Amino acid sequence: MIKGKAIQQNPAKPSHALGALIIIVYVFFIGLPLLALIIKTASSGSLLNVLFSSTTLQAIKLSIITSLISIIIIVIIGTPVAYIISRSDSKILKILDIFIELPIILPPIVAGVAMLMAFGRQGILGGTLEQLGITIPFTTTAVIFAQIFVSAPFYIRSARISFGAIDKDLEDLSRTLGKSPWHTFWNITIPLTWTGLTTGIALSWARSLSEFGATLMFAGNMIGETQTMPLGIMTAMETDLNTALNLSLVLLMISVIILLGIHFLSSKFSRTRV
Amino acid sequence: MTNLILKFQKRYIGYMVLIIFMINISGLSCSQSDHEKSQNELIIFAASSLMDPYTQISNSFMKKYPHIEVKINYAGSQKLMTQISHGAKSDIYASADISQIQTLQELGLVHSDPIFFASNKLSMIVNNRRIGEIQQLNDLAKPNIKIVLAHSSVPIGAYSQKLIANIANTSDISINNFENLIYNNVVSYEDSVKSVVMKTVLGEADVGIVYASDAKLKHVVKDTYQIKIPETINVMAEYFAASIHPSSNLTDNFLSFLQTEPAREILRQHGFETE
Repeated sequence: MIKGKAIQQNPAKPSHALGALIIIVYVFFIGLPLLALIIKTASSGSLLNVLFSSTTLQAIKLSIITSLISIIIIVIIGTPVAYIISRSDSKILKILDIFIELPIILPPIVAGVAMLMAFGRQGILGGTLEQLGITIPFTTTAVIFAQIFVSAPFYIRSARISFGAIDKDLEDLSRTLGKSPWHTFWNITIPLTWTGLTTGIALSWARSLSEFGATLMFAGNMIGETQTMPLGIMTAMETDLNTALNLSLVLLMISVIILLGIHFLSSKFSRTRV
Repeated sequence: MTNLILKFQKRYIGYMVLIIFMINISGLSCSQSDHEKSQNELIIFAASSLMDPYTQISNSFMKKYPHIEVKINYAGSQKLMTQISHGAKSDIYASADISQIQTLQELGLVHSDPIFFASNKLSMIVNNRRIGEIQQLNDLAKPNIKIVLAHSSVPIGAYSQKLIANIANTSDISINNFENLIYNNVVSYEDSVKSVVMKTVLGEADVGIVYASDAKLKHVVKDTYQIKIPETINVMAEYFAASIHPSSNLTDNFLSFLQTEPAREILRQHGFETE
């Protein structure tokens, strides 16, 4: 028995060392640039001055407002879409389920070109919209369009998986007890899938905040109107590195907060489950 | 048992050897290709407005020096400057404004004195959809006109602002007012002149301020028309090229080639002036 154990342990040892080496290399590779960002920003000594400059504040404000509007629209439209797909046997919806994730894979610049061809003033739908007095390119609406296009699939995917994972009998039970579908959805389905939904919201929100390619192509670059934080970083890289560093740091901090939030939610969820 | 341990140790050693081997290979291949590159590869960073003439000029340069391969990176002059100052490998930098080269000179990255090789006037292009509505410079202040400019960090963006100030000076409306009216119509500040061209040609914007050389391009002529800018108020962009450290015979050859008549002829064909 003891010998047997020794055999099992020994082979594990070398791979431990190798594993540690690989992990160190990887952590260094990812960690160094992020650490460099923090160190360089701190050593620039302009942290607060730059952060509270009007241009930077406008970019931060615009990013937060547009991404919040986007996420609200995504939840309102995405939740029923995800629910219906998860509860349906329809072949068409199964195909839709595959393609709904396409924007995750699609390069954002392609999304931008595609949106310009659809909603641009010369676009398929944009021409008609313009006759009605609605112009989308170069407006804050275009920023929101781009964000929804690229980030909705993250929420829908997460929501659809959560809806699919819960015990359908619980919903049926609630219905047999005479509760309305609406009541069942709010009091049974939503609480049971809360973690999945909020994780989806967090991922989707993070993607909205980081949206760059589609926005640049479709919405343009205008301070206070379409210049979100990533576009602000692009513009600042060519004029003032400190501004670019500070905006990058803000996005890094938001990302860390979102990441920890997701982790907190899922660990809380697993505790309540146990 | 010992066999088993040995077997695993062997595998472990195998991994290590593999990793070391890979590191060596990548190291070798890097240094080797770098060496080759420096001998017969010429990397040019050129302002986006130079795209068409430079592609042609580099082709005739390669015809003259068949063993040399010219690679060109086109972007806004400012973006290229940022890339070079952050260590991007470049042999020659051609900017639409001398100020970027001066910044690089201050950083000690420029090897030769910058040479002037071309100038370019500004043009106001209007998408054909607005024919009849936008006919003269004063019309830029009308409501419901979408103007796209390049960001002021890009040379064409700074030149555009000068031009707008000049237009305002000659307009009947009070200067500040006129400038404000125009800037209110600006919907985006793009990162290069080519983005301004693209958005005006597509009709997403009505008016774009670009270089005369851009306004002459076939696909631009097809979808846009020009508003005449009087010579007295037009702004002239001056193009300079310089070799970036470390310089070689190759870079000197290209810079001299740039000043030869065939190269100047190509530039003129594309709407640049070479005097």
